[in-house]
This record gives sequence, structure tokens and C-alpha cells, in this order.
Amino acid sequence: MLTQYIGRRLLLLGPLLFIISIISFVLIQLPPGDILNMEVLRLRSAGTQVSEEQVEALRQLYGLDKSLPEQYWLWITNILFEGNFGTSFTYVKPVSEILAARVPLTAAVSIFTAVFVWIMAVPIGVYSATHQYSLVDYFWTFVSFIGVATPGFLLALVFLWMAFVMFDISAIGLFSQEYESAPWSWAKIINMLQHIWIPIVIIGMAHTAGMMRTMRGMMLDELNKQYVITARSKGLTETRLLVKYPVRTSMNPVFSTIGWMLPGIISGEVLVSMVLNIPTTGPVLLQALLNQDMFLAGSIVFILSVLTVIGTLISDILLVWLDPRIRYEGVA
Amino acid sequence: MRKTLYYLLIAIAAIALLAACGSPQPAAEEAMEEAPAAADTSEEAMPSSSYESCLESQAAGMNFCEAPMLAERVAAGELPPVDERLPVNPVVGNNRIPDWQAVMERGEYGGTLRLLDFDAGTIGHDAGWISNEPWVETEDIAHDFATMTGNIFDLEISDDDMEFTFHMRKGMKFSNGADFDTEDVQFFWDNILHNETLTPIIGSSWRAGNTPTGNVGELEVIDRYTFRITYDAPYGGWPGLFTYGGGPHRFTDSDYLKKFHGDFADADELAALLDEHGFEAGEWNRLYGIFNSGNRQHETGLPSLGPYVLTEMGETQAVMERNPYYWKVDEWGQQLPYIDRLQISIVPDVNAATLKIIAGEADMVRRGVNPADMALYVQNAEDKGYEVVVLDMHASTGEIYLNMTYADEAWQEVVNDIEFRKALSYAVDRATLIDAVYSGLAEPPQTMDPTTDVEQAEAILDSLGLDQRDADGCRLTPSGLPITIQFNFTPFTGESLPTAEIVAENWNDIGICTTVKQLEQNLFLTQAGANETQAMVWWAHYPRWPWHEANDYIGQAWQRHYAPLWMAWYEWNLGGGKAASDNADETDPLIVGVEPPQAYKDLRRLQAELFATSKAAEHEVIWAEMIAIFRDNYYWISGADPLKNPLIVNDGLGNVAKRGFHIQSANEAEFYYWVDETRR
Repeated sequence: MLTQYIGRRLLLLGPLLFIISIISFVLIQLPPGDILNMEVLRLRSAGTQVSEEQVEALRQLYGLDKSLPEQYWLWITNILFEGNFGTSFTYVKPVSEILAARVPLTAAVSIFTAVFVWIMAVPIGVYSATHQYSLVDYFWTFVSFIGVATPGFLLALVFLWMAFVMFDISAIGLFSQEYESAPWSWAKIINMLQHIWIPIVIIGMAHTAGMMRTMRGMMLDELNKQYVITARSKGLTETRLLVKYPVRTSMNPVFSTIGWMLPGIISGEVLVSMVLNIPTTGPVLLQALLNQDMFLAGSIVFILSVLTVIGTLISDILLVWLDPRIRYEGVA
Repeated sequence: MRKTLYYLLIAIAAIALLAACGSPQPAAEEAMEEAPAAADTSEEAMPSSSYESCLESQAAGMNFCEAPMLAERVAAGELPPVDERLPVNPVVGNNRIPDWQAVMERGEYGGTLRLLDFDAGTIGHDAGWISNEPWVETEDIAHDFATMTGNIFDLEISDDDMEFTFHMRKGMKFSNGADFDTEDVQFFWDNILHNETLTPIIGSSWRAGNTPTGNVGELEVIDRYTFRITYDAPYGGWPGLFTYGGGPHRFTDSDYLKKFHGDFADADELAALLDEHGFEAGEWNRLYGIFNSGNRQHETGLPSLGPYVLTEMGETQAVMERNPYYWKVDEWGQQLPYIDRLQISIVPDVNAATLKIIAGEADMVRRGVNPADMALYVQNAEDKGYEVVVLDMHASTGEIYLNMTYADEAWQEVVNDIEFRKALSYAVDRATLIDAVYSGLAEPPQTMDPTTDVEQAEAILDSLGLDQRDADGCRLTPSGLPITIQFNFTPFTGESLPTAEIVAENWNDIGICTTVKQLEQNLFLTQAGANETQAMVWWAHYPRWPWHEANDYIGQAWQRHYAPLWMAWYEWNLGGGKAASDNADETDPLIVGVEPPQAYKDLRRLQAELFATSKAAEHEVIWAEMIAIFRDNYYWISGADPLKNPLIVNDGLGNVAKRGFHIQSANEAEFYYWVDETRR
């Protein structure tokens, strides 16, 4: 049953990804003008005179002398058969090289953030639900409303300001200056850990708040159900009862968001990363879109879309595996 | 209740634990502050300055002396001695900064200069400009030919302004130690400029008179260190194009470039390089382009003539180190630059730059400043040990352009009358612009008409017969059409939005109904080029760059700001457009254009004359006439000029010019040195 379900989903992947690839490539080309405008502007605004031969050389450098379908065909065949995502215009480097430099750090920030969110949100959500309307419940409800309502970049700005006023430092970046370009070593990893908690807490804040509320709501639904009362009447200890039944059911939203997490791990949080100067892929995507750096932007959008599709598949499978009720519905 | 506390404690402990991980940050800061103290003591133990050791080496028979960092490499056998690395006739002292801006002191070697930029993936603009070596130099950025001195080359111009003889420096070398001689010039001329794959169109700067129709000059190599470029028409203004910035060409070691050049490279090695950089087979010109991309450098290992060479290019930081073969010395015989290293932090945007500036984490910032943050800079300057120097900008960021050829019936009825444009200029409230847009950091226009007089503006409009108004209060043309202006801008600079809003209000006040429209940058440029923009706010380099950005003041720059159809007329009738076209009866105004008025034709004629002569006295006369034309014709309206911009300079940094132009003071980095011994 399960294999058939997965098989059917896999079959749909192919055409879906093909359409996604076309859309992501065409969308980026839609705005008028091109990278050349932006580059010439940038050079001129810096006081550099740009001559016609430089513009023409740039046009060739960017491969803009080719037609759109030709550009798409080159791009997609290179990805499929050579794993080559093309060359970024602004960085004048292969896209894969740019991503390779940023994806590991982005993944580190995202994974740590997810773990932080779970560690914080699940216990607090469970506790708030089991002690509904207690002082602690009110406290966390209050905190989570603030967390949901405050945009991450604002928190980041407030944090930067506080760090500046209190410690006299500009708390931006993921490394101290001396480790910025040092090769990877234990010292560098430790240095990174000293900095990485800032984006984790800031990005995690909103997610934690949201998940806390969901967890609490789900738990409250479950706690009043017949099976909980039955289990309790049979003399099961409170902890064992909670963990074994209602918590397990309430975790469904956590698992269904894993699908969205996967692209999130790669893309990172754009605004917070911008504010905190964290070298994740988020700011690169934003800049690429603004500059119409189409191979870079197109490739990132494409990769993220593929990851979303795969992530959704994974979370569907997880849910089916975890919650028998979904399996039965599938059969029905 | 006890359980409640228990969970709370866990939560607090978790937060505290995470917070604790971060607390070493301030501790690291303390360590940094202590480090200089340690350096102080070692300084006392060994009191010799680098100049004293320089005198010693000169006493021992050397002509020049070098930084300790290089002396070590010479001692280790990695580098030849300093006298062998420098040309026999290096550039001595400073030729660029006039005395009234700064007098260069004798510097001491060592240290790191921390720069800042938000140009992802490259060394950024400040370091890029520091790397620029123009072919010849003039004082300041005025391009005054009377002050011209040699830089990379010494230049002789023939009396007829057609022959340019360049003398190279004997023994001058690229940063990799390779000789720089006429072989490199010949390679550039034959295999770059005249290679159709690399240079499909030879630009007008290489053509007599700086016109697209002029003939390309001829190169003649006279000997290993002398070459001549000859034009078939006078082009004496040509050097004006290479007294600043990277010049018409930035030379790189030809042997190095051959590795990427399709005509020279080994086929297998080239194929491997193409593959590595993600290019298709045969696209060697794209590969080559990576190593030839103006002053926004991003590749290490590129042989250069600049004072610093790129050694590390990371995601958030780039590092450049001194060029051991740099061909300039100070008056005392010390090889420049004084400072060992440039460390460039690459931040995401100008706001992150501000934070770094006020935390005292950058030593010199030009491009990363934001005039709106002036108060913040000043507030933290004393604490963090930097100075905020206010200098003149080389460009004007909020100029107002009217499109003379915009195809709207009512507009065409009035806009070609100078008095109408004058009235629009008189209506602009310059005092408010200077206060509100530039926080007072600007002056009323010096070159253009600075008059603000609303009553006179209204009187002019009335006298033009525009005294009737419609129900909305918009003035009507003599034939009864309402005059409306759609005023476009794009937020390329922060000044454009407030400028557009204030000026629109000023115009509405005199009965010219104006609406402001913000456009995405690319759309803005596309529309402007297609003659679809009626009026706009944009920036320009005039009036300081008669040669550089010469297209700005004739309205022909990239974005075609004040009369796109006049430009088209020139291209069609004089630029060879008609001759090249299949259809001689073409009528599309976008292609054949509209004939400009005599004043504009005079402007173009004068510009051609300016480019023809190398005589500074003639330049002065011609340029004054040109200024008079654009001043009297109100092709554009100036809000404020010059603008001022803050330059952030660490208190411990010496030899920084604190007068003159912003961009120039930030560029003469080979002369900077650390007066503050702890930073050396």
C-alpha cells in the first residue's frame, strides 16, 4: 500500500519539476532590462567610465547575445547532464561554487534553529496545555504572541543596537575578524558557535512562538478526548500517558512542517541574515533577483523548488508512517 | 506549582546556556585592546624606525628601501632585492593631491587598513579605486592638462595633437615580477583591442575625436620602452580619458593572459579551465572576461600594477597585500605603499556598514557612508577614534531632467521654450531640498542657475500665455490643453524620492500639475531610453568631468536623460545610422530622431573641439562656453551642487587629504601610513 502511494507520488515528480524549471527561468527574465543595465549603472555610479567596448564585452561575458530558449536549453541540459548550474553574472563564478561556500553555513544555522525551536516549543506547548490558564501558561502565551507578532529583522535590529550600546561591538557576522578567512579548524568552529546562537535565537523566536501555540492547541484538543480519560482511569502515570498518546498525536504538525524545512535549510532566513550579515544563501538570492543575475537566481529558485517537492513527499511519508489514521483515509 | 518552577528553570537555563556561548565576544574585544599595549613594550626594546633602517640600507649602497615585510622575503630568497624590483625611474612622491589639500609626510611601514563595502563577491569600490593606476595623472579631478605628469607612462603629445608618444619606465614590473614593456602593449593592441571575439566593437575612446565614426589610431612600437599611437585627426583631449580611474586599458602581464586567450592557450589546459569555470567549449572570451572586469576585482593571482594585490577573496572578507614590485617611492626613497595590507569587510548593505563604522571597525570608508547617518557617525566619532571629514562629491545625485522630445501634445507646445524651463527651475525650492534631502550637506548650485523665485516663475508662465487654468487648477497651454508632468524616479540613490516629492510639490504650487511615479530601476532605464519618460530625477557627473562621463552633459549617457530623440537624430544623420540602414526612408522618430535646436548643436560642436585639443588654455575657454550653453538652456535643473559627503578616517591614519574631493581622498592609499604606532 505504502510503496504504491510513494510510487505514484514519485511519478508525478518528473513533469512537476520540468514545469518548475521553466517557470523559475522565465519568471526571472520577466522584468524589463537585464543584468547589463545594472552592471553598467553600478560601474558608473562608482565613477568608472564604461565604454561601448566594455558594454559589448560584458554582453558576451554574460552570454546575453543568445536567445531566451537557447539560454534555457543550455542551462537545463547543463544541470541535468553535467550538474553545472551556470555562471553567476555578479560574482563571475560558477553558481555551484557560490552555493558550496554558503550552503553548509546556511544548513548549520537552519538545523540548529530547528532543533532550538523543537526543544523550546514542544515542552512549553505541552506544559501550557496541561496547565491551562496557569500563571506559566499566561506567561508563555504572552511571550509567544509577542514572538509571532514581531518580525525577525526587527528583533535583529534591536539586538544589534543592544549589543552596540552594552558591549560596544557590531555583533554582525558569523566569525570574529581573525577567523573570517582562516581555514576550518576547531578554533574556527568554536568561534562560529559563539556567534551562531544570535541568529538561531532571533530566527527561532517567531517559529518557536508559532509552534508553541500549535502544540498547545493540539494538546488541548487531545486532552479532552475519551481515550485520555480512559487511560487515566486505568491508572497510567500522568507522564507516561501524556508522552505515549496525546503528545504523539499532537506532534503531527511538527512532522508536516519538515517538508517546508528542507528548502528552508538551504535558503535561510533572508531578512535576518541581511541584518546580521550572516553569509547564508538568503541574501545571495535576494541580490541575485534584484540584479537579474538569472543563472544564480534561477538555479537557487529551482533548487529550492525541488527541495520543497521532495520535502513535501518526505513529510507525507512520515505522516503516513506515523499516523495510521492517514493511511486508512488514503485507502478509503 | 513546584513543577511550574521546574519547567521555567529549564527554559531559563536553556536560554542562559545559549547566551553564555556568546559571551566571549566582549572578552575577545578586551583582548584586542590589550594587544597594542604588548606591542608598545616591544617597540621600546627595538626603537629603530623603518626610516632609520632605510638610511642604513641606502648607506650600504641601495637606491631604495622597502618594507620589513618584503625585506624578510628578500632575506629568505623569495624576492630579488628592492633595487632590482623597481624601475630605474620610479614615480617619486605625490603628483595627484595638490598642496592645498595635503602635504605628504614621510610615512612608516606596516599595519593593516580596514575597509568596508557592500558589493558582494568583489573587493568593492574603495579597494577598487585604490587599485586604479591611470596612464598619466593630473592634479585633483579637474583634469587640468597644465598639471599633467606621468604615471604608468610619461606622455609626449605632438603639436598637431595627433601623435601620442608614450615612454614606459625601464625595468617596471607587474606584481608577479614579469617585465612590463612594449611587448605587453603590443599584445593588448593586436590580440585584445583588435581581436573581434574579445572586442566586437572598438569603442569611441580609441577613435579620433572620441566619436563612434572616427578612425581607430595606429600603434607603432619604437623600442622596448617606447611606443606611439597616431590618429588621423586631432584628438588632444584623449589623455583626459586616462588621467583618472583605470584609463582606457588596465594592463596585465601578457604571458599570464595568454593562458586564457583562444589564440595562444594550450587547447587541453584551456578546455580544463573553461570546464572549471562552467563555460561552454569555445567560450574562451567569457573566461577571459573574468580576468578583465574593471576595478571590481574578484580573482586572486591576477598580475597587476596597483599598490596592492588580492590574496584572499572570501564571502565576507577580502584581503589584499602590498605589491612587492610597486613602482612608486616617496621623496626619501622608501618604496610605497606604507601600509602592508588591506582588509575589506563585505557587508550586506549600507546599514550594516553604518553599524561597523560607528563601532569603529573600519579605518577608511568612502562608498559605505550614508549622509543620512551623519549624526550617528559624529556621535560616536570621539569614542571610537575616527574623524568624520566632510568633502565634496564628484557626482550630483538628485538632478532634475526635462525630456525635450517627449511625445505629448501639450508638453511639446511648451517645453521647447527656454522661458518655460526657466520658470520650472525658478519654482524649485533649493533651500528645502538642501535641508530635507541632504541634511544641509550641500550648497546651492554653483555652475547652474541657483535662483529660486516662485513669484517670478508664475510671472514667466503668465507672460507665456499659460495663465488659464482648468478645474483642477492646472495651467492650460495657449491651445487649451492642461500641462501635466509625470515625474519618474527610481530609488537608485536615497535622494531621488524626496527630491521628486519636493519638486513635484513646487511645480504643483505654480499650477504645473505634477504626479510622481516610482519605477523599478530596469523599467525606469528602459523607458528613459525609449523616450517614454517626461521628466526624471537622476544623477550625473557634470560639471567636473569634461572628459570622463562626457556623455552626461550632452544627454547621451546610458539612460538618455534629456532629449532621447536628439541623440537619435545625431546617430541617424551623423553617426552612420542612415548609411548602415536598409531603409533610407525610415520615418520612425525613435530611429531618425528630431533635429535639435542650434544651441544644442553648438554644444556638440564645442565638445568635439574640446576633444580635439590638448591645450589647457583652450580647454578653459571651450568648457566655459559649454557651461554657458547648458546653464542658459535649462536642459536640466540643478537642485544643489556640490553635494558633500562624509569620509570616515581613523584618527591614527596619516597622509589623508582632508580637503578636495571625497573620491580622491579615499584613493591615494599608497601614501597612507599609521601615525598611531600601535597599528603598524
